[in-house]
Amino acid sequence: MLNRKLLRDLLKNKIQFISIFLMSFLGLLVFVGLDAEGNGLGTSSKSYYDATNLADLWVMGKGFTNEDIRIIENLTGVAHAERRLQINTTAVLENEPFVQLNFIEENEVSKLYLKSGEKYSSSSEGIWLDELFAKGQNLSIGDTITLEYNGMKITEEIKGLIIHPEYVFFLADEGAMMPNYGSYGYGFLSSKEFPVQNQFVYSELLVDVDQDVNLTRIKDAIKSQIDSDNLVITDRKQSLSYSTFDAEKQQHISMGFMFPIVFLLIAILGIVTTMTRMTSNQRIQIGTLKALGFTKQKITLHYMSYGFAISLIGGLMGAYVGYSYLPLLFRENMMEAYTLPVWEVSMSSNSYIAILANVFISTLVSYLACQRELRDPPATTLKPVVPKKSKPTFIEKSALWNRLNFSVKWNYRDIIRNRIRTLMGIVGVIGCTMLMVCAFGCRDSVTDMTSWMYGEIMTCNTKIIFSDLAGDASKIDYAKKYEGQLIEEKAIELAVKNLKKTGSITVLDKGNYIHFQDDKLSHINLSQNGIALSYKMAQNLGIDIGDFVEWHIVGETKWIKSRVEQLYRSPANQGISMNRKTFENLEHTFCATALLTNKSPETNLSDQDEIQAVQNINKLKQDMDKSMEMMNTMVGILILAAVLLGVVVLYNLGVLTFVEKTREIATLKVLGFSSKQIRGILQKQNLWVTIAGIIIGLPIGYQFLVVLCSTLSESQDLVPSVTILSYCFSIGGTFAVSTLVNWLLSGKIKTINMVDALKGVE
Amino acid sequence: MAEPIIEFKEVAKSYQRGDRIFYALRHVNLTIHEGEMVVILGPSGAGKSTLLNLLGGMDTATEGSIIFEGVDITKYNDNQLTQYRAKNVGVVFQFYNLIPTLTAYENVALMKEIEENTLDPKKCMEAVGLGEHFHQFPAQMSGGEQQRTSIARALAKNPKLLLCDEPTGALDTETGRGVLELLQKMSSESQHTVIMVTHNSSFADIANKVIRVKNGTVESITINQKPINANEVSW
Repeated sequence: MLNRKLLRDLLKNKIQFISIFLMSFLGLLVFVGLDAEGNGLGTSSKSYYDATNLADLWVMGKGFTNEDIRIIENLTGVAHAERRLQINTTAVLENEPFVQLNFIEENEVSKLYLKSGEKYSSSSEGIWLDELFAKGQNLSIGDTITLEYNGMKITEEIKGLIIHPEYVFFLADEGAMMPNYGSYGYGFLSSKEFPVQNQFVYSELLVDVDQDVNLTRIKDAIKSQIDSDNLVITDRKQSLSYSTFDAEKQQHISMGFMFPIVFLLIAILGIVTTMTRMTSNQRIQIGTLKALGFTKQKITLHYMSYGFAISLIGGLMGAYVGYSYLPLLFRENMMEAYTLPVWEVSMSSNSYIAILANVFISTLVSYLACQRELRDPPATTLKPVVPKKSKPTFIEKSALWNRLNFSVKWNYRDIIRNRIRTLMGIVGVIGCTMLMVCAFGCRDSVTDMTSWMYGEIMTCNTKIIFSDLAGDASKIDYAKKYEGQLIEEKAIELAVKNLKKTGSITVLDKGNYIHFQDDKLSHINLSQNGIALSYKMAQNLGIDIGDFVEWHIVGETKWIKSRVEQLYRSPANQGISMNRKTFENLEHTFCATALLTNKSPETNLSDQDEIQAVQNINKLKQDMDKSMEMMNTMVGILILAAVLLGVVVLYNLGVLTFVEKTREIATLKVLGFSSKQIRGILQKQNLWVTIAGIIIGLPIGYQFLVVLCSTLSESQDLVPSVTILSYCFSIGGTFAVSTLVNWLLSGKIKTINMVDALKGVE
Repeated sequence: MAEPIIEFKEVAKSYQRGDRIFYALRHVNLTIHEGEMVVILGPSGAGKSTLLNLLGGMDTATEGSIIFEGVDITKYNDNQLTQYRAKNVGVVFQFYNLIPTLTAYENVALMKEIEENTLDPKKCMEAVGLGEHFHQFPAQMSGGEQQRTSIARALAKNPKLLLCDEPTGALDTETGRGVLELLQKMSSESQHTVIMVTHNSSFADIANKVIRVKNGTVESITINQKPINANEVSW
């Protein structure tokens, strides 16, 4: 029979229970959805990496022999090693797209993942081409493709279309920020296909190690065993593809952690208010049940089942919907940025813990709520509760009090007497405002990044990238012709004690196309006699101005220890920057890799052998704007969540006030107050709560954004920024939610029957 | 005899219950004059609460007309009824219905929010004998004190009709007698029209006019030439 009471109580208090249900539902929807998506990224990539046996170490050097392979394979912990040559070519197609070619010896480590066509074998001729590139360039199996490398032409028949585990994330050049697959690509072919066999060298070794071996030990062993002094050994974490995807996965998971906390907090506050109200309303019922001989345990169990049932049903449904649908929202955008054979969705143990924690806390709160009423003997519980004497607050004692009108007094005391309920309302509005600030702020920050990168830091229109064939003299000629600035950009490795990071070095010749900003984003000039370290890299290495960092250019052996003179902020390229003079003082030869200019290049400039590519900065900007679409999805989800949160919490708050005040409202009606006046009184509290929530929510939202921006990948430095307009939208949005709720609630006042006021207290 | 303040002509109140029509009141005709002390008497379910609701403009009649100072209030819309309640009617409830978050004084002063020409709340408090309880919350007061506050609140509007629904229902005999005395004084000294609904027939003796209600109709209307003083009532 008690179960029947449970059902009827749930029906009678349906609004409150629905709102608790919704909070549990939404909290777990977002949590499980993002967790399953993020964790799914992990499992999908792991099974991809396992199936293709992605290399654990990459060894770069001048040329590797069979003897080197033998030595490395003999090391304990190494399973297999194979050689490869990687070169950058341009395809003889419209726009001369960039194609990275890999000449491979076997296909045992970092294996090709065949999408269509013939299976690769080391004896087969032809090329296995990047599937997305083939699609983008309208190429299919059986077509031939010609690629140019240092004046050499390589013509091959396309035998198969593939994807490759080292190209999950792939950029055409270091300066780009977002991939644009199809406009550039990669290909794999047998080393026998290299046209000039006597010039062929294997410049790279892929090493597959056994599970759970210490990579540092193997790295050291390789360095000591191979007789070459310019080896660079990198592991998966230092590879752009692997680390970018890993960071993306982490970002999704950490987002999944932060947002649902707000919802779950509100679900708990909701349960606290609803359950304490219900148990204190049913105080006499509880006394009666006890007097009838129900045990304490049985009554406790009865009240616990409210919290248990609601949170269990809400949580499970939220988890199901989140698991099934939320990952799909990200899928399209993720597929634009990353290439994986399958996109799995899988929950981690965190999801199960969250579902259980939600149920546990809700049940616990219900338990505590009814214990309060069960403490006393039935004789006491059968009588209505004696109200607490509340001491007047200082505002009530002040002279001002008597001059306040009724609705202010009424609402003030109502708030003071229902602190938890008010707290729930304020937390809800804070959450609503916070999510909106965060949503609009994310958008602002990324929009800002485009104009920051290509408006403030790099102020040229065109970047001309030289090929290896360009000599120093012709580079200077180009620089004169285009009145440009020569720069050298190279990959470097940085080290502080045992911590190693890969980054890039930018060396600047005379010119004024690259600018630097300090951590407060004000302009600085590069110092004449020292190196400058990017802010994000300094954070990653855990050092500051005045500390020393060791670095070397990838492919060269000389390590240099430099004092960090300046820190600068850079959105994309993390590493060090210096003037040509400083660079040469460190006994390096300046060898320009690119030219920055504001003059428009001739259309056929990229046909020159000496030029690898001509980048139009506006085009890069557009590529970056593409990444905004992903952001818009996020913004949409966040705003939807904010609105739902606000509506549910404020409506619940309104209904709670309303239900508790039915008798008072009816009395006011009898006394001659009009519905409009009563509406005004009730809305005032809603308005106060909204204003308080907004005031607290704005700075918290900003802080939230700061945390969100700093959890981005190691290579990107996103400056959190929120425009005044975005703040206005957030405030306006929250008020709109509040007004909507007021409108929903105001209809209920008319439904109150005055005659109820004359009836006895239930 | 003074002018009639309110008049019921063939008033009926019915509810639709499925296919059946249920009458809470029918064929009610009565006249109440200014300054009268009226007791409406009847067992529970007789229709006396419905009668009080109609008098107070809290409910609308389905048939007939209710003439208040020459105007038929059955034709009023919601806003007009609200105005009618605000200007002309004071209600004293069985369970006081004070606003729990306002002090006694604030509950009385509340009336300023709806009517500009209210009496001074302090004077009203004094009139009901509540000088020293100005700043107590309802929960800190006894039942009698709460009911006095409720009466003071009703008086503050200086209403033409003072409607009381079982005003002593939740009080002990001694306290109840005090409340009755106060109501009688309102009628005799301040010329308020006091209408009290009760099931207690002993109260009939203190009224000028007794309306007995039974099964939704007025059974009898008697005029008491010599009402007794409320402190002589016993029950």
